[in-house]
This record gives sequence, C-alpha cells and structure tokens, in this order.
Amino acid sequence: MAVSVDRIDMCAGLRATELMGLYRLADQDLARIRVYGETVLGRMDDYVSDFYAWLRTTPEFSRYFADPDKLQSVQQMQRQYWVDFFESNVNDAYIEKRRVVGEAHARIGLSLQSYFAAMNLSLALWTETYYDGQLSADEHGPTMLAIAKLMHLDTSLVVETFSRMVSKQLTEQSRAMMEMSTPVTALWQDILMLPVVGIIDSRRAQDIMAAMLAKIAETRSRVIILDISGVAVVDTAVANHLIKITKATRLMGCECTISGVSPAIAQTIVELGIDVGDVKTTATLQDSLVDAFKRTGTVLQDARGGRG
Amino acid sequence: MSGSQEFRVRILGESDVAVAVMQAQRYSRSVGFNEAGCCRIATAVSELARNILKYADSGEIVFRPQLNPRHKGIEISALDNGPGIADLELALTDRYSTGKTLGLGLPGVRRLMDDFDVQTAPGQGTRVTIRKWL
Amino acid sequence: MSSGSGGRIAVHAFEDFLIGSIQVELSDAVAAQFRDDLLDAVHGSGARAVIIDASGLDVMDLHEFEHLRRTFRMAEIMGTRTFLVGLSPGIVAALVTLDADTDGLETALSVEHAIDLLHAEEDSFSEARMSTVAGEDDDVG
Repeated sequence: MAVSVDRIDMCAGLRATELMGLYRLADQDLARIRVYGETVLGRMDDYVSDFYAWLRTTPEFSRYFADPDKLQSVQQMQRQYWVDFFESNVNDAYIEKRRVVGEAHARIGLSLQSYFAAMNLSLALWTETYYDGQLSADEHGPTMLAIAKLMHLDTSLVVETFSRMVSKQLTEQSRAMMEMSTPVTALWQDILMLPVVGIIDSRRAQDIMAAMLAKIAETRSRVIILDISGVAVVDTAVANHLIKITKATRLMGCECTISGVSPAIAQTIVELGIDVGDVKTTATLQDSLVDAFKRTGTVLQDARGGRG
Repeated sequence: MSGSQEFRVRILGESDVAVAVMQAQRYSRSVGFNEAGCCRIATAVSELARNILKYADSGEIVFRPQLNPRHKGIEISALDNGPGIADLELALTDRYSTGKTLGLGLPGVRRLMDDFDVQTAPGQGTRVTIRKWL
Repeated sequence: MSSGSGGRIAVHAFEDFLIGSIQVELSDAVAAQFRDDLLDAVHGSGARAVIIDASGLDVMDLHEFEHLRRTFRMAEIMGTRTFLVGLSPGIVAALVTLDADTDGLETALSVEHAIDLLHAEEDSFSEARMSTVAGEDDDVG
C-alpha cells in the first residue's frame, strides 16, 4: 500500500515495546491470542457475512459502502485486520498498520462512533458467537483479558491518529477563530472525548461545556477526555474555563481529564501561577486513554458468569 | 532609519484578543522563536489583551519586532486609556505561592518574558511593555 | 569535567521512569536547558515518574530551588510524578529556613528508594486489578 506524502508525523510516536508496556501486554498474552486465533480464524467467512448483515442496517452503509468495488476492498482490509490481530505480532509494523486504519477512517469521514460500534460488534462475534469451548477453563479468562488489552491498544492508536487528523484538518481549513463546533465523541463504553482546537474565548467555552454536559447526560459516561493539543494558548482566562468545565462534569459524576499538554503549554501554565488543583492532566491523548481504561475498569464480560 | 516597524492591533472586543494572539504567534515565529518561546509570547499577549478588555474597555497591542542581528527579539506594548492601576506595588506582588486570585496576572506575565515594565497612574491609563530576546 | 557555566543535566530513561542527576551548578542557563530537555523527554516518553537526584549538590539557594520546583510542576501538569531525592541535611535546613514552598514535592532518600516505592505501588495496583478481572470478586453487586 502506497504511503501518501502528507502523512501526519506523530510527535509522540510510541514504539511497540512502549505501547505494550502501557497496556500491560506480555508475550504470553500475545501467545494466548495466537492460540485462540488458530481455533477461530476459520470462521472468517462467517465473520464477514455476520458483520455485513449488521452493517447493512446502519445509516453509514448506504453512505459509504454502497459501491460494490469499495465494499470489496474494505472487506479485504478487514480480513487482513483480524488476521493481523490474531497473529498478534505487535511490532512497529503492526503499530503503523493500526495508525493507517485511523487515517483511513478520518479521510472518508467516518465517525469514531461508528468505528467503535463496529469494534464492539466484531469483538462480540469473535469472542462470544464463535466461541464454542475451545479453551480450557483456566485459559479462557486470561485469553479474554489478553484480547481486551490488545483491543484497547489498537483502538487507542486509531483514536489518536483520527483525532490528530481531525485537528490538523480543522486547523488547516481555517486559520481565523474557530466557530466550528466539534461534536463530543463516545469511545469505548463509558468514555467520551472532545478535541478542542484554536482559541477558547468565553462563548466558545460555554458552548463546549454545554455540549459536554449534554453528551454526558445522554450516555452516562464516567470519563471525558478533553484534548487541548490544538489549543494555541492557555492563559489564566482559558485555564479558568477549563477548570470550570472539569468542575461541571464532576458534578454530573463524570471525571474530566485534560490531555495534549505540550511542553510549551505546561511552561506557560506554571509560569502564570495557575493552580490546576486535582484535575488530571497528561501530555498525550494516549496517556489519558490508558488512564480512562483503568478508571472505567473496562473489561470483557466473563463468558462463564457475567456480571451484575 | 532604524528600520523598526510597528504593528498595532486595536482591542475593542473579545475577538480582538484572538487576533492579537495570532499576530503574536506570527511575529514571534518570523523573528525566529521556537515553539516554547512563541507560546510564552502569545500567552503574555493574551493576558495583557484580556486585561485591557476587563479593566479599560479598549486599548491596543503594539508589536515591534527587533531584527538587529546582534540583538534579535520582540517588544510588545499593551496600552489603554483606562482608570490606571491604583496600587501598582500590590499588582506586582508575587502571590504565586499562596495561589489565590491572580488579579491582573502581571507577575505571571513578567515570569514569561525577559523584560517587563509598567507605566501607570490613576486616571492616566496603563502601558505595559514586555520584551523577549532570542 | 564540567566547568563554569557549561554543563547540562542529562536525563535518561529507565523502565518507565526518567532519571537525572544534578552534577553541575544550577545556573539560570543550566536550569532553563534542563527544563526544556526534561519536558521534551516527558512528552515523548509517557514516563510514569521523573526522579531527580540532587545528592551531588552541596548548596542550593532559594532561587535555584524555585526554578527546579517550577520545572517539576510543569512535568506534573504533563501527567508525570516528580521526585527530588538526595537532598543533603544542609540544603534541607536552608530551604526550610528560607520558607521555600515544598508543598506537594515528592521526595525519597535516593533514586533506588524512589524506584522501590513506585514498584510497590504498581504491584498493589495490579493485584487489585487482577482480582476484579478474574471474575472471582466477591463484593461485586
């Protein structure tokens, strides 16, 4: 696959070993995924037809996948995706492929929401529908956990790339003040995300807060990540807006973490004497995602007992 | 002719703060400051421009890039015809460690830049001049 | 080796920490360079903690301490914990006398101590996670 010249240069391009560390993936986890993969990849044709039976029911289908040629090539990519997943050879090439997936989604304008709905379905298919007791009782739990961790790693890469592309597109489209409102996106269960770009004045801060609170109420999410890597300046006024937003979300039972704090922004925040209190702030979206996964204790359903 | 040019941004409303910030970024970059330097300058300008709106209704930000190769940098002035700062000494007191209200934020602006001076008197407006060197 | 206003505080990665040791005088230039280097390293590495060893210093005045403290706050805002270790009794007494702002500063006796502490915390966190994940949690629901 040809790589286009204007690819995003990931400033925080974590390498495979670092990402595996972040998501606590060990070689045994990968081995387990491989073993499971061998028993279940034979169902690939079923997967494709089950997946597309679902996709046909979504509005995205007619918009993006009506063309049969396009559909063919997307299905090819998808098959390859899962072959790679169950091969779990998590090296730098693997990471690169996941980033490409993120870019592809951003380029065709598919929402992250759709992506996550599709991932949820795929996961259910591979680990529940096609599971027929292949694993021994004490291998099942650890294998499902390993799959969950690798899923988190994959999706975080896609989200990160997608988010950066969206930010870059937004900045490129308009150098003047941003009037455009960015929708709050639902990620994995319980996690929301909103990238903010440009200059935050009081009216925009109000819009952002209103949008976030509405989405929190609608989804009952427990964590919302506000990514400010595209924000030009954080002065005392902007910091106050951000802190108010975190207070507001907390009052609704949702923790707001702020990601995308660059070295330059970190310096100005401290030099201005701004006290962020106990608000969690991180350098990159990746860091906030790891933290969000931990906080929400996102775990696959245990097929034996279930929960609740 | 010393060749120093001046660029003024009138501050009348909130959207002008954004314009001033963007111009600050533009001029800093053209002088040659790195990302951290541009960010400091833009942040300082943002603080000063907002002060103008908050306390004086209107004013202006004046950019003077310093392009003399032996002494490259930028000088920026924030001017208004507002009421002036009543207690300048208090406004410049560093309340950083007690961390309560930040008031005019002048100590913070001072920390961000290399040079800083304020001229003000009750009823005579305020002029804050900041400088940063490469 | 390091003389006068030269010198640089090197920061290197170890496990998921960043470790640096102050061997030179903390002039404004050195402190500013250290700040820039450290924040770049934090941004690129996703490090869990920064551990700075000051045991090589005999003297630290308030100005130097405050510069360092601000740098630490910047790293914290980027999501990393920061430890200052190995402060001599003389420096500690002087800082306290001068009313330095030491609130929230994490410290340990040495780099090794800081690492042990961080390991211990991570172990207990993992244990808590494993027991809820394995589906054997008694107190759910």
